[in-house]
Amino acid sequence: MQFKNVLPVDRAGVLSALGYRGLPADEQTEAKLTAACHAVQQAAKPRFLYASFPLGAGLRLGTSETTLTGRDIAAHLAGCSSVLLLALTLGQRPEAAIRKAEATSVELAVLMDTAASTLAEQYANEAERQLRQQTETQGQFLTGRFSPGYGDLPIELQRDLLRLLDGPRAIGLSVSQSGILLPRKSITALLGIADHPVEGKLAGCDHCILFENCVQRKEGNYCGKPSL
Amino acid sequence: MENQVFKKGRFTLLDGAMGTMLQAAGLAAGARPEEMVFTAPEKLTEIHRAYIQAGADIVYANTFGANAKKLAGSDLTVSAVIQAAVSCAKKACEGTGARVALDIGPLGELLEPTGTLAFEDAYSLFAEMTAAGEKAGADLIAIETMTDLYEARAALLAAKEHSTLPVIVSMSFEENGRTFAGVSVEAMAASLGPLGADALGINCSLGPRAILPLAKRLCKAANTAVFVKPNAGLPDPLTGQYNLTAEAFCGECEGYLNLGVSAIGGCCGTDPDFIKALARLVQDHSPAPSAYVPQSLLSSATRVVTIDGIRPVGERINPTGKKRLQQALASGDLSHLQSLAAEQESSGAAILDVNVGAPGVDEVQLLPKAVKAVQAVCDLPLVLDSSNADALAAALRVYNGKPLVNSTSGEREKMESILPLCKRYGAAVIGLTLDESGIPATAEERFAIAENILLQALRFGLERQDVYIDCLTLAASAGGATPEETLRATLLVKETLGLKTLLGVSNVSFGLPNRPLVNRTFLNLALWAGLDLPILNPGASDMMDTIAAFELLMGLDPDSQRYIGRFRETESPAATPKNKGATPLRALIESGLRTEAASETRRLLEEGAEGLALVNGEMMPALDTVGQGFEAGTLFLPQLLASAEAAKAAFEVIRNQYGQSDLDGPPVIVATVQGDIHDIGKNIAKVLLENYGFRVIDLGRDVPPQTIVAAAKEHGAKLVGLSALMTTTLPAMEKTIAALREEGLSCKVMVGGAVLTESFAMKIGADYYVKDARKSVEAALEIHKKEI
Repeated sequence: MQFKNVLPVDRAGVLSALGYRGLPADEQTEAKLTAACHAVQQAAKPRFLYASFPLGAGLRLGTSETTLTGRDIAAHLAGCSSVLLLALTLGQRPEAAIRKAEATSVELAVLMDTAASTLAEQYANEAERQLRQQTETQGQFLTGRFSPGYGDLPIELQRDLLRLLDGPRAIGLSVSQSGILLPRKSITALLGIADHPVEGKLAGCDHCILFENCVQRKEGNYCGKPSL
Repeated sequence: MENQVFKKGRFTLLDGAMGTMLQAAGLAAGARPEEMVFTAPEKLTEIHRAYIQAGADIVYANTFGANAKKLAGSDLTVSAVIQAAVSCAKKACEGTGARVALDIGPLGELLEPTGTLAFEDAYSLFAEMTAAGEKAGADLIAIETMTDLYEARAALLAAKEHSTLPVIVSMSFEENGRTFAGVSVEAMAASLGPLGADALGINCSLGPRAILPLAKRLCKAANTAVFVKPNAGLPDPLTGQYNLTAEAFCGECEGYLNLGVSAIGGCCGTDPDFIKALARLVQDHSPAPSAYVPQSLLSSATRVVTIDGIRPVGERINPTGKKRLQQALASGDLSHLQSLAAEQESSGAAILDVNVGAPGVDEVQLLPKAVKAVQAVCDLPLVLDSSNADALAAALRVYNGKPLVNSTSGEREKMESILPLCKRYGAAVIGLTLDESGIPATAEERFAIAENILLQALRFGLERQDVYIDCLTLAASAGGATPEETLRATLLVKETLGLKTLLGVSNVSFGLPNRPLVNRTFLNLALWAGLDLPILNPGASDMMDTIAAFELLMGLDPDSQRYIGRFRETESPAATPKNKGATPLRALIESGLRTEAASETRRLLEEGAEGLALVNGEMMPALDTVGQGFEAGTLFLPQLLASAEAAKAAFEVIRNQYGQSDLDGPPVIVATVQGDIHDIGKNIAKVLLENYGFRVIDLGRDVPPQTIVAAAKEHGAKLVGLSALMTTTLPAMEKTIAALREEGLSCKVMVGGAVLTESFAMKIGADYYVKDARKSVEAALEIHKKEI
């Protein structure tokens, strides 16, 4: 599916991801950031895809052979009867545009790469918002998003999720042997569905692979916190 | 256009969905449809039989995902699945005259450059399927649902080279007429038709109504038969149910009857009722004649350039007389070539010539690599330029799109080696008007050679519009034949043969003063004589200006928009260096002003400044200041990189003055490890290392351990930098370090990447954990402190 609304890149979000800690960027960087955001915006063709599966014993997804493993996802889905799989991609063109930029300016490439990651996250939020609304009109409730590789949920799960969703055919999203989503500016996530309000339990930083290096955590921005 | 795949005079009916039918027969979500060939073969035969009874002339065997990549992790083998699946279909065909297609779908993994799957590996996977399909008794091969032209090319090439069966190819488009990978209908036709597909089509993704305008475009662009297999409309996102009934589907298909389409069937959501309805629809009709319009065009995967006006060809990727490029190519570094490609594209080139014929270079190895590297960063069509036929063959294999081959001549032997190659890979060709007795003096003699080249090209099966003629520019100062003969020959070829022409422009002024004037004047005359493809340096703005003015005067620039756009004054805010106290160069670098830093360096050198003094006295202090700011958190990554790039630009100016060797420091190898494609971190480190004088050998991304070991050995590097961004690719990093140690290499290894930690780095045997690019410079300086 395509999005009906076009989201402008969240510039503050890009700067924050580059470590600006809320500080303003200089005029030159601002100008280049504008160019980078524009290029990403032009290239991005966001599409998303979802499907729901009843949760069986051992967190099996419907009648498939896929089960969700790990303590963190079990905690997140506690009290949920089924799970919504979400996959989203900005498409291949941002990738090509970033490669092209790299051939002449690493700086521009870095700005574009960060802008594209930020934009993918924004569209994931938007998809989640729409799905939440849709679910709630049916009298059901959604948890937040939980992605493979997060906490102790293995990243290798990407392969199964994309097969269940028919990701390559439906939105051109596939996964490499190493579990890298391709195109790279893509997100997959699981959201629990329950007949009563659920918050889910995001894994928190303790299990996070980025625990030692995460700039965000050091600055007190926990992605584990429920977003507003 | 008729051929053996689809019968003459009547529509050929293809079958409908297989997946939809399998799901109805109880296939579980996420399960492999190929398993059904063993668990429920009679079900499959039943489905095929239902389609044949409905009227299908061709049924697709249940082999869509029967490739080694998708079957990995199961106990199924490619040959067993294909054998069984084709048997099921053949059984259904018995006594009916219906034919079986080996169905080949995408591999499910993205190819290079976006993904990590190499073109050659994709080819092998498809070759395995094709050979098994022919052995199992399939009547034809149907490659379908492709979205990546490169993957479709790999499959088609494999099918042509590993079977004798006819091959039909269809791709899936979105309503905007492009696939997920950005391939247009025209780009598909430009590449796959000439590569030898027997029919081209569109399947899946959309319903008949949405595919209709795309099919119309395909009929115009394809030199083959055309077919469609639309979905039953659009699916409901949550239930997956499609919205068209058989009757409604059929109603939407009426538009195909007079389009030039000669075969039709269904894709997702269709069933035998849909095919029955189609059979009723087509029974009183015969396909309209081909609507193909031949055009001279060249293409990449995502761009088609029609040669219906002046199309400048960038000449700069050619090492002749360029020491810098020669050295880069000799060391296997293709990033210099990539920036030349990107620069020429932004200067307005429409096509790029790629020549890597430098001393000490194995062109057969290097030309295909260069083609892949350029196509990774630039979507302009390429001219593959080599005098070595084997190198051209290797490059033609991996080129994605329809290229132009540079070149054959009128020499018999040359034509007999080059023309069949162009036919085999679906390329256009340049014919040089010279033969065994050299370059003739007169226009008439050159014209005669051009005529003969065209004749031979047609004899080898090329289409007329794919033959381009170069009447050869000779230096005006050389005496003998005057450039006037070149111009007259160009005019003759253009007017009499109607072929597209090309000329290298700047040769004409060789050895003369004020060369730009002579070049410009010659260009004007040549354009007037009918030159389509001037080969030039698009960075020479006077030449590009000349073309713009010519187009304006000749009415080739509607409303003069391009001309006016070109000369509209662009106001760039005068950038002012922030650090007023420092000397200008130093300040320019600190402020990250790239162009200004380069011109200031040039000025200083012209005033007699010494290059090394500038490096040590201006550039290094500037970089140190910025680096310290970055570490203290007062400057951020974009600014660090802006300064690094400004320093790099200044360094280039100095390097050009000195020649390379005097300034080159010790080598450092950098690579993103096997299986990983995140390379921005590595590229940041590279720029910074280069700033400090290191000769960085960048092996790229997804690099196997043995390549890294070989490079470390060859260059005698004391430092190897490895990057990995995924928990799943850290083992490859560990393996690479182990491989370096096993070889007994004394080099140090530094590692970086988001998921790495100091302790993990030490555990896998790295010498340095570098948390950012600055740290990689510190490591390099520490190791090489005596030499710098």
